[in-house]
Amino acid sequence: MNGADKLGHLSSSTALDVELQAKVSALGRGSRHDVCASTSSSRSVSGFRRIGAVSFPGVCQAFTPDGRCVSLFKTLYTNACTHSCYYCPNGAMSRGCGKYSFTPEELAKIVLKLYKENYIEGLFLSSGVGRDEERTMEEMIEAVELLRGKYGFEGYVHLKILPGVGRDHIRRAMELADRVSINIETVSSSTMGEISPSKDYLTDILRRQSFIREEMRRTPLPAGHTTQMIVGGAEERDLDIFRRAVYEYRKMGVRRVYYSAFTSIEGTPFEGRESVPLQREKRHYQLDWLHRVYGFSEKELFCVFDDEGYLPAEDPKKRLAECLLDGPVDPNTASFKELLTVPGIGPVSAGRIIRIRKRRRIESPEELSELGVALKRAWPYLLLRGWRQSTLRWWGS
Amino acid sequence: MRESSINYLKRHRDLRQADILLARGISEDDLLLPENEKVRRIRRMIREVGTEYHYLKSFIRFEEPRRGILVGYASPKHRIKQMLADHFAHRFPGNLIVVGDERSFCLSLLSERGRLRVEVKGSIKVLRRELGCGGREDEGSVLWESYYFSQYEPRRRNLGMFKRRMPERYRREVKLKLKSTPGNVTLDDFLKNKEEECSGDKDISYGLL
Ligand code: SF4
Repeated sequence: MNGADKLGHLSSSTALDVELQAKVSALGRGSRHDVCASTSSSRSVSGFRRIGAVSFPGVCQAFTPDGRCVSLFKTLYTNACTHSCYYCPNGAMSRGCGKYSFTPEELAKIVLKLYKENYIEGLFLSSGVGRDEERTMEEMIEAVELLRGKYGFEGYVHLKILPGVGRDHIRRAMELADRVSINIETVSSSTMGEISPSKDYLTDILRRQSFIREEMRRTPLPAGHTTQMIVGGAEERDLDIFRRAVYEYRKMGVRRVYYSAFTSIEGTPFEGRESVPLQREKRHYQLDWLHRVYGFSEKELFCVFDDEGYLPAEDPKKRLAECLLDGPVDPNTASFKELLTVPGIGPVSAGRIIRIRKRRRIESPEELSELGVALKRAWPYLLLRGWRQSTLRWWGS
Repeated sequence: MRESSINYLKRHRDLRQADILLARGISEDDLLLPENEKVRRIRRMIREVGTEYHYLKSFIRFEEPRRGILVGYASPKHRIKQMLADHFAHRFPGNLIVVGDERSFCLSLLSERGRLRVEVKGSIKVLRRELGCGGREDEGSVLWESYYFSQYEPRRRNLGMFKRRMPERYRREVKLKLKSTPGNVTLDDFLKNKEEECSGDKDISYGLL
C-alpha cells in the first residue's frame, strides 16, 4: 500500500475543526519572521511508491499581500518556549499568546494534504523549545520520519535545529531533511546577552553549527544549511553584521545568511522599542548578494560603509562602483568583473553581454536593455560608441 | 535551439508552421538580441508559454474526490494542459491526474505498469460533478486559508508587488476567491480591508482567526 492509500481525512466532519484552524494559524504566525522560502534541492527521486519530488528553484504557490513568496508550510511545532528572547512573542517573558502544539501524526497529515492539493512545495519546521529542547526536537524529527517513512513523502523539508540540542538529533535531522538551519540571530556573545539572556551564543548556537558542518562530511545536505540574523535587534553596527555573515559563509559553510529587520511586537519585553526600517534589512540583502553571488571580496566591500560602520541609505552597489571604477565602462571591451561592478548589471546580463559581443558589437542603450541591463541605473556608468552620460560628479571633468 | 524552447514554441496558440522551421535554424544566442521581427516573435512566443507553464504549475490546486484521482482546474491560453498533467503525474506516481477547463481536459498517469496520456474534449466541470468533487476538498482550502493569512505581515504590505506576482487571471486556479460564509471573507475584501485598516504596524487578526 502506498502512502496515499493510508491517508485518511483530517477530521471526521466537513467543517474543519476550529481548534485546528486556530492552531495552524497561531503556529504559522509564530514562524513568519523566518525568512527562507527556498525549495531548491539537489536530491533526486525515483521509483513509484512515493508522494512528491523536489522541484526547480523559484516556485511560489502563492504570494502574501506583502508580496512575499509562500512555497512551504512554514510553521512552528510548538509556540511554547522556556527561553526568554526579548523580541519573541513565544518567549517565557512575553504575554498574551495562546500556547499550541502539533502532534507528529497531525502535522504529517496536514503537510500531505496541502502538498497533494498543490498548496505547498514542502515543509519548513521550526519551533519554540517547549519544556525541553531534546524532547521537542525528537517530536519534530518524529513528524518528518512519519512523512518520509510511513507516507513516502519526497517533497522538500527544511528542519530547524533547536538551540542546545544534542548531536544525535542533529545527525538524524540531517539524514531526513533537504536543509537544516540554526539562527545565530546576532553577531556575538555580548549582543546575544542584550536580546536573549537565556541563550548561550557559543554553546547553544555556534557549537551546534560546528556539529552541522562536521556532520556534512558524512551526511551532505542536498540544500545545505543556513542561518538568520536580526538586523538592529541589539546595538550592533552594519559592519559587524556583514563581518559575521562573511564568517558564516567562510568558516561555517552556510549556503545562505538571511536577514530580518527587528520588529517590535506587542506583549514582548521589547514592545516599546522602535522597529528597524525595512530599508536597512534590504541593504544587507544587497550587500550579501554582492559578496555571495557577484563574488566581491570582504575587502572590496568595506568601502561601502560609512566611517561609523553603517550602510548609507543608497544602494551599496552605487558606492562600490564609485570605489572600484576609474571611469565609465565600455560594454564592448570591459571584463566580466568590471561589468558586474556597474549598478544595474548582474551576472546574467554581464554573461549575455560577453556572449553577444563575441558575435557583434553592442551599439545602443536599447540593446543593453534587451540583454537585461537596468538601464536607468547603469547608463551613467557606461561608455558606448565614445558617448557617455556626463552628469556623474565622481567622473570629474 | 534547445529542445525545451522548441517544445514551448509548439504549444503557443498562435503557432504557424513557419515558426518551427525558423526556430530550428537559429540558436539561443540569436534570441538574446533578435535581428528581425520574426525572431523577436519567436522569442516572445517561447517566453509567453514558459511563463504561463511556470505560473500554472504553482497555482493549480487539486481535489482528491476518490483515492488516487487528483483533479485540478486550469484554463491556459496555450496548449499546455497535457504538460501540466504530466508534471504532476511524475510528482504523484500511481495517481491519475486530471487537468483542464470547460473546453477540454488532459489525463496523465505514471505507474509501474506504464504511462497513460489522454486528451478529452468536454468540460472538466461535468467530470468533477460525476466524481463528486466539491465536498470535503474544502478541508484543504480552509486549512490553507488559515495558514496563508497567518503569513502576512502588515508592516511589509506591498500590494503592488502582490498583484504583479499573482496576476488576476490566475486567481481562479489559485483558489483565493474565498467564499463569503460567516467568519470568512473574499480575497478582495481582505485586500480592501487591509488597505483601509493597516495604517501602521498593528497586527490585525483576520477572517478565520
Ligand atoms: S528560543 Fe527564543 S526566539 Fe526561539 S522560540 Fe524561544 S523565545 Fe522565541
